[in-house]
Formats: sequence, C-alpha cells, structure tokens
Amino acid sequence: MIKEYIYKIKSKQITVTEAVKPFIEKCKADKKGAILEVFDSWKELAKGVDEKIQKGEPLGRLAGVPIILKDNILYKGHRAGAASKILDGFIAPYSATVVKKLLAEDAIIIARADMDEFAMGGIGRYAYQGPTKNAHSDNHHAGGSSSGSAVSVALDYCLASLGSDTAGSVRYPAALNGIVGVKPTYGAVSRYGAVAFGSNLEQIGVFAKTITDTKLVLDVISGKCEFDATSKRPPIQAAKFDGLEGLRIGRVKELYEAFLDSPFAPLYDGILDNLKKAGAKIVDISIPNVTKSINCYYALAPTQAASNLARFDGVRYGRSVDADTLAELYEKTRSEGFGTEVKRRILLGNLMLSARPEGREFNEKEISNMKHQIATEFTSAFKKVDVMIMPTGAGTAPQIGQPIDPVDDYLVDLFTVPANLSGSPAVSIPCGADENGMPLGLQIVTDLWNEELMFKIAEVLSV
Amino acid sequence: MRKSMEQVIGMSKIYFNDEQRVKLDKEFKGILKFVDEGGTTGEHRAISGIILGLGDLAEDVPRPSMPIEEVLMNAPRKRGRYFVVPQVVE
Repeated sequence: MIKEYIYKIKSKQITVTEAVKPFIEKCKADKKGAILEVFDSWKELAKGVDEKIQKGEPLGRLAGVPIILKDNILYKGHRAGAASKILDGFIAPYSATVVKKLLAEDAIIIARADMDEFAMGGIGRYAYQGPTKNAHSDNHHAGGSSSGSAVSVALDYCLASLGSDTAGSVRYPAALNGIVGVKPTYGAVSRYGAVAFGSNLEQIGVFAKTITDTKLVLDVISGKCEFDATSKRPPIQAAKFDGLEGLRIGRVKELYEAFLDSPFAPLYDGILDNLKKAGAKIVDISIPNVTKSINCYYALAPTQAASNLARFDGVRYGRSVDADTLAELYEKTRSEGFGTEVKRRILLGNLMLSARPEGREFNEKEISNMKHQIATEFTSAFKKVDVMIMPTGAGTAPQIGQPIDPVDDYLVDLFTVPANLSGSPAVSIPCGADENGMPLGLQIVTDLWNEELMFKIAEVLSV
Repeated sequence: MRKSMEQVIGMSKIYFNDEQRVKLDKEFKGILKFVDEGGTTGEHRAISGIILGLGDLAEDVPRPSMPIEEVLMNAPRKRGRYFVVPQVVE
C-alpha cells in the first residue's frame, strides 16, 4: 500500500497535500475516540515535500506518507499527554528520535492517538479522554494500550502508526482490530522521547495493514541512538528462510495448554496443521516458566512505573494544583492528575520496591531474576526451533461496559508479555474472525534480532 | 489496612479517602496473590546491566543541555530562570 501510494506521488499523479487530505478528513470525522488531535502542521510538512518534488530533489523512503503517533511519543511543539489528566496541555519541548527519523524520510505526521493512560492497560479503556471503540464494532473495546493507533490504521485514518509495547500494547490491539502490529527486539528502536513506563520491557512498535508496510516503517525508526543507552546496533545476520519446508515451528506446551479451553483453539490447530502439510515441522517445546511471565511482569513493570512517574509532581510540567506546602502540592496534583489504574500500579510498584514488604514472599530483585530466567529459557528454546507461533490473545475484543476485575484485565497479556521479558521480536498478524466478524490475531516470535525471519514467515502466513 | 500499605500510600504521594482505602485493600489481596504466583528461581543474583538490557553506554562527555526557556516552557509556575514551589524554608 505505501509503495503504491508513494509511486503516485513520485510520478506526480497527485500532490502530497492532495494525497494526505482524505486521511485528515477521516481523522476529523473520527467517531471511535481514536484521535485526540489532528496536527495542523501537516500542511507545512506536505508543502515541504511537494516543493522537494517540484525541485526534483531526492525524496525520503516515506515521502508524503501520513502517520499517526500514540499520545506518549513526543513531537516538538505539539501536545503529548499519554492520555493523562496530569499532562493535560503539555507541549513537547523536543522530538522523540523516532519522530526525527520519520520526518527525515519525509513522512507526514498528522495526529496523536488515544491510548490507555501512561500505556497502563490491556483493553483501551483507561484514557483520561475516554475509551477507544473497536474498528469493527462500537460495542467492543479496541484493545490497549495503543488503542487509537490500532484503530487509526484499521479505519484508514493513516497508512501507518506508532505505538509502544510493554506487555503486548501493540500486538494485542493489532489483533483485535484485524491489522499487523510489531514489537521489535528490545533495543532495536530508541525510546528517547517516549513517555517512560516500564523501561526495560517497552519498545516503540509499528501498526500497518501489510507486513511490507510494517517492515518499511520499522526499518526507518530502528537504530542505535546516542540518547538511549539501551538502543543497540543489530548484529548482522542473514535470515535463513527457504520457505516452510523443514522450518521448525515451536508450539510452546505451557501456552498451548493455557489456550486449550478457548473456543478458538481449533482455529489455531488448523493453522498449525496447514503449516505441517506445507512441510514445516511442528516441534513441541517447553518454556517452564513462561506462564509466570504475566505474574512477573505485574511485579516488575509497576516498580519501574512507580519510579518513572515520580517526576509528575506539579512543579516541572503538566497539571498542578494550588497548595500551601510542597508536600500538599505533590499529593494533590498526583491525586487529581492520575487515573485509577495508574494509581494502582504506582502503589503496587512502591510495595514491590520495599526491601521485604510485610506479607510479601518476593521483592523486586528476586522478580528480576525471574525475568532473566525466562529470557534464558527463550534462548534455549530457540536452539530447537526457528520460530514460535502462538495466539496473540485468548479471544476477540471484550465488550464495552462489562465490569473487569484488575487481575482479569492483566491476564489479557498472557500470550504477549513473554516476548517483553525475553526481549524477542514478535509480530501479530490477522488470522480469522469470530461469528460476529471480530478479528483474531496470530503471533510470530523469533529469536533476538531476527526480525528478518519473523517478517518472512509472517508474509508467507499472510497470503 | 496493613501497615505496609499505609506506608506505600504515603511514599506514593497520592491521597486516598477511607472508602477508597477499603476498596484498595480488597483489590490488592487479589493482585498480590496473582503477583506472588510468579515465584522466583530461588537464586539471589546481582542485577546486571545485561538483565536491565543496557547496550553500549555513551561516553561520559558533557554537552549542551536543553535551553532554560524550553525546560521551563511547561512549568505551571515559573519566575525568571526558576520553577516556583510553595515556601519550603520558614
């Protein structure tokens, strides 16, 4: 899609301004709660690329391509609020590295999208501005936390969007809205300029409708960044993929068992059967602690959130409440500014950070050891298989209005969070729908830095 | 409510009224049980940079920081080159 779109622009069949306008109109007409703001600056960007074309100057890889940002990614001079009341009115004083990279390739950033507040939520219902509705139904959630970014792509408000994925926040909404969503290897993409939540788990990821488009945008935003010490140069490795014949596909025993009761289990069995018929080897593997990933995550991520969100104090930026003392300023600002789930996770994080909390069996250091253990188990598993295939979520989108217990809410990340703990790249692709047409996703996970193989397999499975 | 929760609420600088505290206490019983099911390896390793996912660390070289006006542009209260906070020293 992007390739054909750029061809029309380069061959002067249409100007960038004309090409982007229909996307802007769709954003402005959004009824899903996906768009928080359309950036007027798109006109200047489009004009700039049109001038380049007029002058015959070389164009970037995303010339004229409309892209939407999750509300936690900074774009200089534009609002960014992580869908939180505490950041209401915040103007980004600098741009995230990913934004600079997109602009350097002549992309047109057109809007910021709704999300769960501070990326904390799996369903897309915790935004200060309200929940995002699913692209396929007004009665269902979009999935979170990058809810608006996913819906924007599914409804053609843009050709690609960026989200962030700390436990599945790109892959899960991609699955629920029937599009492609990728979380790259930890360190592949700079997190500089993304509002921090779970720093050693999250990565900025990409939504698009095709594997080719997803890969193109990921290529543009990837790379070592001097402002993010956790970003890395990927090791050079050729993806060995000659088709499905002989490909070792891992079926993770523990996750497979957790999925057996799902009404969609036969659908996934069918996909694996077809792969087997096409020559792939289905290898049953065990990752003993994989189902503990979700528990481990909900101990680790809140500790990081508690520290990362300590900076919201009513002094430096964002919302502030009148107070007589500094202590009162902190408490009043944070109490009024943060939503329920964010407060819950800050408390949980501070509890886990306590040396040996009353009544607790474990502390944060011991849980960090578990993260390391799970990552080691993934490394061992990838010696036996080339790829792991698993569901992205246990089912289709949950209905809006149903009461959800916090623990049930956390369980939606069961199949996605292991890749955040191991750091592995993982992509969700559409793989079917339920009887009401609500989409389902299939997740393809490869070893660290093996995005190339992951995308090649995804392409074969997408046909 | 357990003493540790009271301490954590104070540490988090967030106010909860009595009704909210009762609800929190109930919710946290479920959440903490869930978290504890994560278990541990039983080992006590030092947390290394590898576990934290650190890449190649940058050279420790000073460089120009963000201009003051940009640092202060979102400050709710400012005066000249400074953030303004309620009086701290009596």
